[in-house]
Formats: sequence, structure tokens, C-alpha cells
Amino acid sequence: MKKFHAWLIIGLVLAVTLSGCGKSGSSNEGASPSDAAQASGEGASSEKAEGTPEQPKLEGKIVFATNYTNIADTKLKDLAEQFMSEHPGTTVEFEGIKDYDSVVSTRMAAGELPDISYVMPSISRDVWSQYYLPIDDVGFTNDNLYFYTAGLGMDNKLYSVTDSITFTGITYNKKSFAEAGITSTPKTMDEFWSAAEKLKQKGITPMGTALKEAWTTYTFGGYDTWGIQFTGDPELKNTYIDKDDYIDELQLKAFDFLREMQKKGYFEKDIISAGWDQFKKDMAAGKIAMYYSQSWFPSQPVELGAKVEDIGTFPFPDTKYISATNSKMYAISKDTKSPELAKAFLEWLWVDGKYASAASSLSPMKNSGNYDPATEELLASGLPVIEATATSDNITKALTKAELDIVSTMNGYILKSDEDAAQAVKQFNEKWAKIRLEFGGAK
Amino acid sequence: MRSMSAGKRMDLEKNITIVSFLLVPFLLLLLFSYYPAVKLFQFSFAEWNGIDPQLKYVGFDNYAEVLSDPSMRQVAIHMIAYILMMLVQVALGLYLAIVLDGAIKGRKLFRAAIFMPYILNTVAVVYIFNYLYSYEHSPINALLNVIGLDSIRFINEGFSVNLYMALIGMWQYVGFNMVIFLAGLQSIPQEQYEAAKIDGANLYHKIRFITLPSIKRTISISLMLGINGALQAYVQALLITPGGGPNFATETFITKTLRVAQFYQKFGKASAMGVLMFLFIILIIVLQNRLLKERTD
Repeated sequence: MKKFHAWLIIGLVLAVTLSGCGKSGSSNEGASPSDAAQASGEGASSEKAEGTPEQPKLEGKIVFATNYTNIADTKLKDLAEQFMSEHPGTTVEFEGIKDYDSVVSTRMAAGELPDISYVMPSISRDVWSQYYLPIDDVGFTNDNLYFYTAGLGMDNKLYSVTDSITFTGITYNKKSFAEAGITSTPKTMDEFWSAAEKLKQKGITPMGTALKEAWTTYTFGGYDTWGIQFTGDPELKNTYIDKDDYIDELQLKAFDFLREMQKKGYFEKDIISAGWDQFKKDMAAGKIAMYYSQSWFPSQPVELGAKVEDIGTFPFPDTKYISATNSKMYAISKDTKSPELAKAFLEWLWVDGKYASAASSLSPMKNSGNYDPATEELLASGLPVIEATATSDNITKALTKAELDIVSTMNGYILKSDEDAAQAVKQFNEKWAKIRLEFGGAK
Repeated sequence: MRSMSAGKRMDLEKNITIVSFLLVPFLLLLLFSYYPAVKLFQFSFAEWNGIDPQLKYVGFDNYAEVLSDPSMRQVAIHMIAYILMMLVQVALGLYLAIVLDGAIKGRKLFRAAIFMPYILNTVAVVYIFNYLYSYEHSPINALLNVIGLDSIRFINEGFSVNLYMALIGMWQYVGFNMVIFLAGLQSIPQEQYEAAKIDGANLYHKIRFITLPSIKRTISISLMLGINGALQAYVQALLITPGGGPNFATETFITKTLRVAQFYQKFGKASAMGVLMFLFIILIIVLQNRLLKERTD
């Protein structure tokens, strides 16, 4: 009897354990018509258009892997259902993945790339054709899509499209400015320093850094979000492969600005323990007046209680251009079983900026208008918008091989003594001068 | 004849039972520990970005790069902070075990309270300390200011920030050490203490000549687990100071390995770091065992 009980328990444990193996990763909820259609759809060997050429019958199932886990089961699910109701017989799903880069990299290495996913930084352009499907026939062109050229592979075919566009500028709390008696946003550095001093006198922190998080100063460290605003040259960054000084006068402008701000006490009281959550709260409450960032930021203090009309953005003083950068570049897997469905879904999500607005970001389509007030204010400054071209692969590879990271060097620069700071820049440039030659830099 | 086959049958049944119970854990061990370890060795001799189906073998280049990396010296210094805290943790665990082994009122409550942090989710604990370590908004600093003392800069660019990080681990795990020592203490026969008392031994003598020698093995195990934990610490530094801290002041061996792998996509070099850490820990444990063995002999 005892033995029987023992075997029964073992059997139950095994059954419970193995039952988990039977389930596939995604759940097929809801549409029973789509189940039936899928059964017949899987029988169909091709995705060729049937019936009228304008409306090929779409069928099959695709998964769109997104890093927006917070809306995957809400807004994005609604979008999926809307698409499926417009195209009965199809199944489209969003899969929210938290640790996106490492999870999708692993799947990629195993040959299980999701139907639609974004191109990770580690995938250089020269291997795009090995993993992704060309999407020239979807209808995106340089005239209707921002960063069209950033999505072109080495063979000049379109492989990926940015999910949104983001503009760089200083986001500010208008109430803090009003309290300090600042009547207009600073256009020159002199005006900026005077505004910062007024804020400091009023007990308001002029600018926040949340430096503890390390990534928060990224807009200062890089040609796309800093240098390009002064020179207006979209190819600026890629010229550095031929220059010994990666951190040159132009970049040092940002480095030195941050050092100056710290010396003058215009940042948080203790920047190295300043965290992101506290910073956002302070910005929403008006205790911190400014933050140099991109258009994804203004909605965050608003979420924490600031009024939409109280948050604005203006271009960094003395700049001549507004930098626009792309966000995640989405591509279709070469091995997708439903390429026509994937292309149709991608187009549908992009055309009216549906995906971007679900994620509270700006549509990547040109002339879509409809920007949030803070971005409208930034663009109303009249400065021309400049799209940075994609970083060339050899620069990215050179930087990663030599383990050179400009943002961490910049963060260290803010805190070091004058000698150590100069030394750090010198060491960075020496390493760069050496490594760039291995990646095709001119001698 | 019948009794022999019954005996053999029982042996067979016994063996089948043992094997079938061990089979699943053994397979899991192979799959999740030994197979990845073999792969780790393999990757450490290659240059790999984590995605390429092909590996490009580079011999010992990765090892050479790790050992000649000047920032590794800084990381090694940081690890000393974790080792120091670990020693304090083991000593404190032993002290608490000795105190709470005696007949004290409410000792069960104390034991439970001290052990409680161990069962908390580590990430949640680290987030609490993230808040406690803020310079401007920490309740600890608020309290210090109220009694007229200066705020403490927990997150700083010096050596002490690593001690504060390690302190989080100590707070969480000292209860575990205490419980292990309690188990060891309770296996010491009471008669020894009574005999010693009759011979005129005081508390110090009792601890030095009875308690410590009896739990030598437990101390050895605690130190071994402690060293392993200290050298592989990373959660606190990773969550409180992502990016390695101000000028990489909180970089531990594992956070650096993660950075090399994920940020710089150098999985080969990161694997070499993993192998070196593995060898180092083995070396420490062998040395420690040898040292402690000599003492007892």
C-alpha cells in the first residue's frame, strides 16, 4: 500500500511537470474562426494573392515581438484585434519581451527569430540579408518615411523601418521658469547661464541628470544628439573613422558644459546618487526645471502629475539645427511562414502611426503632424530638423572592440579633477586612434 | 532458491528506486550546469558576438586580454570589500548563533526575525536599499540630520561604496549563517560544557575549546559558501548603480562580465572571465581547506 502511494505521488509529479512541456509558447485565444482558418491556411502552400489583385487574401499567423511590455496586453492587443477583424482568417499577436536584446539574440542564434522584431545593435548591416526579408514592396519610400535610408541594407534593399522618430531638446517645466521670473526660453548660452542662476536663487535645481542611472546623459554624448545640432551634417558621426580624436572640440563642448554645470551647482545636490524615479517626480513637481533629452520624455512628468501645458521643449542654446533620431528599426524575419501577412501588418501599423501612438511616441511617417505640445513647441522654434544617418558598422565595431563608451567616459569626466579629466579624454582618443585603423580608418 | 531470488529482487528494486530518483536531478544538472560549463570553456577560446552561427577561434587571446586589462585591478580591489563583509557576516552569524543557542527569553522570535530577510526577494531588498542610500532623500540621512550629524554619502567614488553594497548582502544573509551555525551548535553534546564548567571553565574557555573546534566543519562550509557568494556578487551593484557606478566605483567581477558580454558583445572575453573566476574560486577553496585541515591535525 505504501509503495503504491509512493508510485502514485511520483506519477502525479511527473504528469504535472510534463504537462508544462505540451503547451506552446503563445496562447491562441478568442477567434474560433481563425483556428479553423489556420487549419485550412496551413494547408495552403503559398501566400500568393487570390481573387482581386488589390486585395490579396491574407492568412496565416505572425508574432510581433515588442519591448513595450507595459502595453502588450492592452493597447497593442486592441490593435491586433482590430487588424484581425479587418482581415478575418489571420492571426496576429504581440509578444512583450522584457529583456529584449538578450532574449531575441538567443532566439536569433537558435534560428527562431520572431516574425517581426527590431534589429538589435549587435546585428551589423552586412548580415541583415541573412536574417531579414527585403520589404521594398510594402510601399515605404524616402518621401513618406523618416530614416528610410537607415533601413537600407548593403544591397540597397529596404530591410527595416523605424517605429518612431524622436527630436532632441531641453524639456522644461514652465511653472518653474515662471516662478524664477524667466519670461522666455534661452536662445544663447549667456541667456542660459542667467536663467540657471535665477532658478538656483529661487531654490529650484536648474537641470536634472539622474546620473546614478548612467544612461540618462546620453543626449550629451554622441554626434547624433549633440554635435549634429551645431554642424547640421547628417554624416558627421561617420567621418570620425578617419579622425584620431573621437572626442574633439565639438564633443568636448558637451563634456565641458556638464562640468561647468556641476561646478556652479546647477545640478542635483549629489548627482551620483540621484536616481531616475526621484528625478521624474521632482521634474513633475517643478523642483527640477530642465532636462536635456528627447521627445519620449515630456509625457513622463505629465504622467506623474504635471499639467500637459506646463511642460515644454526648446532647442539647446546656440544650436542651429534640431536633431531627429530614429528609434527601434523593425524588420521581418527571413524565415517567416507568412511573409505577406507580416508585410501587410507592418504597413497597417505604421501608416497612420498606430503603433507609435499606442506607445506614446511620434509617428515615423513624414507629414503626419499630430505631435504633442512639447514637441510642437520645439519644432515651432523654426530650426531645421536634421535626420542623422545610421552609424556605419565599422565605427560601431571599432568602439565595441576597444570597449570605448563615450557616455561613461563623459559621466566620469564630470566628476574628475581637471588633470584626471584631461587624461581620461587623452586615453580614450589614444585607444580610438589605434582601433580605427583596424576598421578601415585612413592613416 | 525462493529466498535468494526475493533478496535479489529487493536489491534490484532498491537500485531501480535509487537510479530513478537520481536520474532527473542528474539530467537537469548535466543540462543546466555541466553542458553550459563545457560551452563556456569553448566560447572562452573564441571571438563571438552572441549571434553568429560560426565561432572564430582565437586561442588564448581572450585570457591575455582579461589578464592585461588595467581595469581588472580596480575590480579586484572592489571584491576585497565584499570578502571583508563576508567575513564579518560569518563572524556575526556565529556570534548570533552562540547567543541565541542559550536559554534566552524570546530567542525563537529573535531567530525568526534575523532569518526573515533571507526569504525576501533579493531584488525587492536592493530596491529598498536603493532608496535608503540616496543622499538627499534617505530616511537614514534624515534621522542623522535630526540628531545633528552630517548625511552619509553612501554612493560615492571611493572604496566605501563597495562596503555599503556588500552590507546589503550581509543584512540579507547573516540569518542564513546563523541558522547553519545553530544546527552545528546543537550537535555539540551538553555534557562537554557541563564537564568544562566543573573544571572551572568560563564562557571564553567554553567557546574557544569546545564550541569552535566542534563546528570547524560548519565554519569551513560557511566560509566556502561565503567566498563563492562574495566573489560572485552583482545584484546590488547592478540595480543600484547601473553602468558601474561613478567612474566604475561599484564594478564587481560579474557586473563587468555582464557589461563585456551584453554591452560590448564580446561573449568570448566574458566567457574567459567566467572561466578565470571559476578557477580562482576553486583555488581559494582548496587553500582554505588545506589551512583548516592543518589546524585540526
